Amino acid sequence: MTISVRNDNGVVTITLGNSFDFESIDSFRSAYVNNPSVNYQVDFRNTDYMESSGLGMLLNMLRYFGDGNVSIKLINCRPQILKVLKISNFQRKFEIK
Amino acid sequence: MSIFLVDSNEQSRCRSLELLSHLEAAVNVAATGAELLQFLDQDKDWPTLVVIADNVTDVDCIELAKEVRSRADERYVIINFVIEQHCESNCLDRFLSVGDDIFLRSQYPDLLKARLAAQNRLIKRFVNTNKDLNSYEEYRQNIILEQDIVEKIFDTHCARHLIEQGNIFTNVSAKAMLNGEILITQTGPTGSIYIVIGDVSGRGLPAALGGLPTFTTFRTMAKKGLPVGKIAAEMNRNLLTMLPDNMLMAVCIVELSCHRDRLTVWSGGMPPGLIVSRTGEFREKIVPKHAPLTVVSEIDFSQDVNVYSLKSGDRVYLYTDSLDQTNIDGGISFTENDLLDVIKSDIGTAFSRMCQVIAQRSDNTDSVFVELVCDDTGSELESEQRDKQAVALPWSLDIYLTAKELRSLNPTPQIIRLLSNAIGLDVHQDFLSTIISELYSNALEHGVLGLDSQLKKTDEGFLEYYSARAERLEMLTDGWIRIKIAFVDGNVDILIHDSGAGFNTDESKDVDESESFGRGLDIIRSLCTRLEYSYGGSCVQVSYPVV
Repeated sequence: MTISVRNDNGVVTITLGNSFDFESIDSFRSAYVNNPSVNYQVDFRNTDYMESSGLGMLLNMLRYFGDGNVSIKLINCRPQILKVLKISNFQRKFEIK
Repeated sequence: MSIFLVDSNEQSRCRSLELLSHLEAAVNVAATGAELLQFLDQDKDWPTLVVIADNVTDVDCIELAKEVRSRADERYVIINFVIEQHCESNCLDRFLSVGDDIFLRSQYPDLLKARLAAQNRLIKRFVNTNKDLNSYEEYRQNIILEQDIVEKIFDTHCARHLIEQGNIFTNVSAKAMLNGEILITQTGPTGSIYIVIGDVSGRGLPAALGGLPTFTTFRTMAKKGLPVGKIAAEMNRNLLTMLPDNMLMAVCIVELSCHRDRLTVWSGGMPPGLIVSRTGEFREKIVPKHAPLTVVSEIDFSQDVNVYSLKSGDRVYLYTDSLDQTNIDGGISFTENDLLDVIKSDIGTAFSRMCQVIAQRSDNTDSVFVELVCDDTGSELESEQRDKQAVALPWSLDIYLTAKELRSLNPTPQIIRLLSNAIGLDVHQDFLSTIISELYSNALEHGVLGLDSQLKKTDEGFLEYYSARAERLEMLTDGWIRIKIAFVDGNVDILIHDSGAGFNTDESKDVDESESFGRGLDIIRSLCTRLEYSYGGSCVQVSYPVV
């Protein structure tokens, strides 16, 4: 399953596939590069598991926007995904819902 | 048609015989009533027409006719009398009280011929109707037998399909399961609740059996805590191979999160479900996003789900489309608004009142109706999980991957598929996926391919790193990775050894939080109880506690 992007009145939602790892690196990056906004949501509703390359990709996204006051929310995380995000203290960098 | 003629007068008997022979029927003749009864008692070649002359000498001809009638039981027999002359009407009544027709010997033969032909047509019609009746009866018996079989299968196989949980209320009408309606509930590994409610097209045995292959799929996947979209995709795959082309399965698969604050739904072809507040106010509709299962091929199948946020005390109502098809004596069908009215008037008793509505509306209904109360309640999962450990055998798995395999595949999904069937491990596959793919990526990228994580420090470097990974992997001719996984004493021990040069394991690294690498080990450390390096850093061993 691949990454899909939706833009609702300026809120860009990037819905991830089954797994979030380096294989989706290009499609994930182009999802935010090609859809400029200040309001992003990364939707994990379909995602079973992730590894650190996925974490790296999220941080890379943060770095891409620098200090541009861009909000990135991580939404619909299953408990397993939530645990991996919390291990890496991601709640301090992203709003996790 | 077969005929039996009783006539004690030889002359008239011969005349009658001559006449009857035109009817293309087998004709038996006798001079006495006793002969006729004797013939009938043999219970062979029963006549469909009995002709009795009033000149029979040994017995009264009306009494003889009565004897024939009583012996005939349910057989269809026409009895005709042949009499000498006109008689009074009360005499005629006596004949007709037991016989079907009377002929005067003087009218004989033309009139008799016409009447007999008419009777013959009646007999033929009766025989055909009787044949049809028998085959309908046989068909009916088969249906009853089929229903018994289905009932037995559902009783023994499917009764376990509903979990005992204080916040799920289900109403499955008597005939629902026999007509392909489906309801299964299951608890997930993290305490979430999975429900599948659905309806296979068609009725009777084919519909009931049509859904069966998906039952185990649903339960197995729900027990592992897999996402509902993935479960739907697998059920679709099952059904595509099992069901004939013209059968569909409308289905709504939901997962209520362990804190009862989120509902994830894959719904195809189902009537919209309802989410209402604690006080019965309408909040949201659960609208089906997809076509029913088997409509879309495996390749085009969409696992996309809807996610609804819930507040404590919210209630979710799900039902199959038979509910709105239920009518009172062909009256108006039950609508979503009717349901909302029932809920609004008193949410506390809404479920039981809905059950009454369903029971009253039609005795033919085969509906399934579910109320889900979203209150945070504790679960007793852990003890169940521990029980499983006690019976799990120790085992090990040894995989050696050469350059050829390293180039062509990512081993993690295959390994996870193997592990997910192991007793006690099924619910851990998400974390095991993370650990194994993390360690494998390290072994491949840093060990075998010799890539340096420092490259990932910048946005460009991050992409460069992964394109270098792809290039080097494609050119790879030497190198190997060994993966050993063992399950012993409630631990999954994982060893990954690669052909690379290793690294200085003494050099402890503090991860800068903004760096997009170096987090993998943090994850491993917090999920595993042990992390050890050997062979100069080219071999790593970890233990993941299952309990």
